[in-house]
Amino acid sequence: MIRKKVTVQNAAGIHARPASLIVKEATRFESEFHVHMYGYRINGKSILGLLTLAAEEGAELELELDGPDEEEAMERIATLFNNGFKMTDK
Amino acid sequence: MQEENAHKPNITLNGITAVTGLVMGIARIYTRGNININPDPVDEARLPDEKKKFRQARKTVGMTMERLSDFADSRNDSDTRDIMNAQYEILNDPELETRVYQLIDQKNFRAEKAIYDAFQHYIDLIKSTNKSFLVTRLSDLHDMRDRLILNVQQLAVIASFGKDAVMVSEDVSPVEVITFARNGVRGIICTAGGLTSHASIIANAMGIPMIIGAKSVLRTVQDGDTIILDGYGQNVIVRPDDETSSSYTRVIKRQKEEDKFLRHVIDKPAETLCGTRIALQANIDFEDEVLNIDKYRAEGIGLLRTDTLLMNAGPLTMDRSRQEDFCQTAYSGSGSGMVTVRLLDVGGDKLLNIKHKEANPFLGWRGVRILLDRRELLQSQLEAICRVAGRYPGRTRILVPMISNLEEFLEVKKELADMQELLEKRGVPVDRNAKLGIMVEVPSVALQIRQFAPHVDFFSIGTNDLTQYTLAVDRGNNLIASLYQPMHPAVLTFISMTVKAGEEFDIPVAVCGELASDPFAALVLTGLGVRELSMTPRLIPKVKQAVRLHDLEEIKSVSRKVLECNNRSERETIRMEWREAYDLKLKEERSKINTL
Repeated sequence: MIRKKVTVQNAAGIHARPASLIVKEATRFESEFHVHMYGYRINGKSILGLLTLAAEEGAELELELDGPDEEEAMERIATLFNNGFKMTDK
Repeated sequence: MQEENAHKPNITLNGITAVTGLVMGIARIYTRGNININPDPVDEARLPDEKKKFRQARKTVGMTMERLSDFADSRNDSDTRDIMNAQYEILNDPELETRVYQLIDQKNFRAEKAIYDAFQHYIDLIKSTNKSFLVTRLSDLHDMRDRLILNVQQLAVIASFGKDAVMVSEDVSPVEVITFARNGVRGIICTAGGLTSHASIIANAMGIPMIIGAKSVLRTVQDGDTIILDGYGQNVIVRPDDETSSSYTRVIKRQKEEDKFLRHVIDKPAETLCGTRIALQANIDFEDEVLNIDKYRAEGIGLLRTDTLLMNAGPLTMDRSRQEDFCQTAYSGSGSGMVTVRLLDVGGDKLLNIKHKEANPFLGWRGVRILLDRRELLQSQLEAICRVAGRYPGRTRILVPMISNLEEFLEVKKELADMQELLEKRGVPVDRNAKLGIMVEVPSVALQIRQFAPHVDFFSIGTNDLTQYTLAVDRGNNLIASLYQPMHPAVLTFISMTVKAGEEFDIPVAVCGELASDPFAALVLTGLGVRELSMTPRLIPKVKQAVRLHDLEEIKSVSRKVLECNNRSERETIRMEWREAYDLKLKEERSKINTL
């Protein structure tokens, strides 16, 4: 299991579009994925869970990955946050 | 006047036949009702059913998300695409599923109540954050919730109808047609609807007679009335009197005998009296239809439409494994026959309820034009096909739709070679002998067919589009319906030119439009030299019977006559003369069979 802290960098926060990008990326991997924020821990493969975090710009979250492909998954998901959820092809 | 009609017996209403056939049954008025939630718990024993209802509704809603339109929409409209992506994820949310199941299991809720409460949990949580960037966008959640609940309720309504139901509705969606088919509905009557709509294509594939454009039917019929759907006469008869019902009962009985009689040709070869073989192949849209290939002894698949997969796939993409599964089912269900997989042919008539508008969709962004702009889609299709083709060497034809320029074809050819090379490098077996051909449906292609011939492996003629492009007639337009003439000499000339080029360059020529399933038209095409006809499998025996009772010279002389005649009424006369002679042949054949 690995953990990493990330910050929400896009101005609009995690609304439906970024949340669906996160889910889409995360479901490509076998590893289990959870997100921690304000003491909550939600399933990161659930878009509804992500939305209930109501994470705005500047919010700090901790990503938790656990499984055979956790390293690669972490890198891909963290990149999404760091790019401010800009659409990237492939 | 409409009011007066509400109880009168024997009212005949006109419509347009979308799927031919004749049925009598009990009218069931079908509407998409309002949401209402029944909060009462159900018996323990029914809980698995409630969970199943949720799963079915989720599947159905996923299909109805009109990916086709949103896919087209999304070219420039990233907002729509984002909404679609988000809705897709909401629908498939694993936590939502768990919560729905828990509510069913622990509180004995009905599916609709469990769905409502599961969504409400999230809606309340989001509201309580007081973050306007989320609260203002709750409509997606409401929308998905309502669509799921509506679907659960619809399934229950449809399942409650008897096997003699004839659905009467304003309009039906493709998914509703599938649900009707699975519940054994006899016929469908709509007040609205276009001939080329996806719903009618599905009804045809499922063998459900359908009449559309019966404008006043909903004002005339009462739920539970006896109703006749006459696809041959293009009308609907509400509350038939005794005389009318008994005469229709006789016709329906004769029809059943006819179907029984046709069974005797099923195992016989499709050849003329003089021994010319015609390959009668299957048009296949859905996995459900694959069983019909063997049932009606189709010689392989002349047209495997992949368009329906797009409706089930994720936004913007077609899931490759789903495409692979579909192809796999098709290959394994078609013996040793050839399988002609047509690449995505969306746009124009395949787009239902589109938000994306083009001034002339039939002349617009469709078929190969979309695929070349969306390479990843083309590549995913080619990869899926190549992977399956490798498992069944020598059986693959890949058909490229909406070709209007040679360059487009050469571009696809290159993509295919690249994909084969890539897969070989990865150690995946491929079939280097897979054939690549084009749809002949644009007049410019037919005119220059000899320029295409050296590059392609086969031609497949799509008579529907070839007719509408050649005659400049939109076949969905009622005002000019009589101008839509697939047997027009200009169309037949193009077909004949294609056949001649095929003979000259030794390339197979097939016809895969609906025209091929009409026995008279099938003979005319045979007379022009077409040797492969592809159609809805259940129509094969009828065509085979016609082929078997003629010799080639007879057939050729009919073709010549049709090719030479200058107007529709002359053509109708030829058809009627042929029909009379053919009826005699059939009578003779029937008495032969009966004495055996």
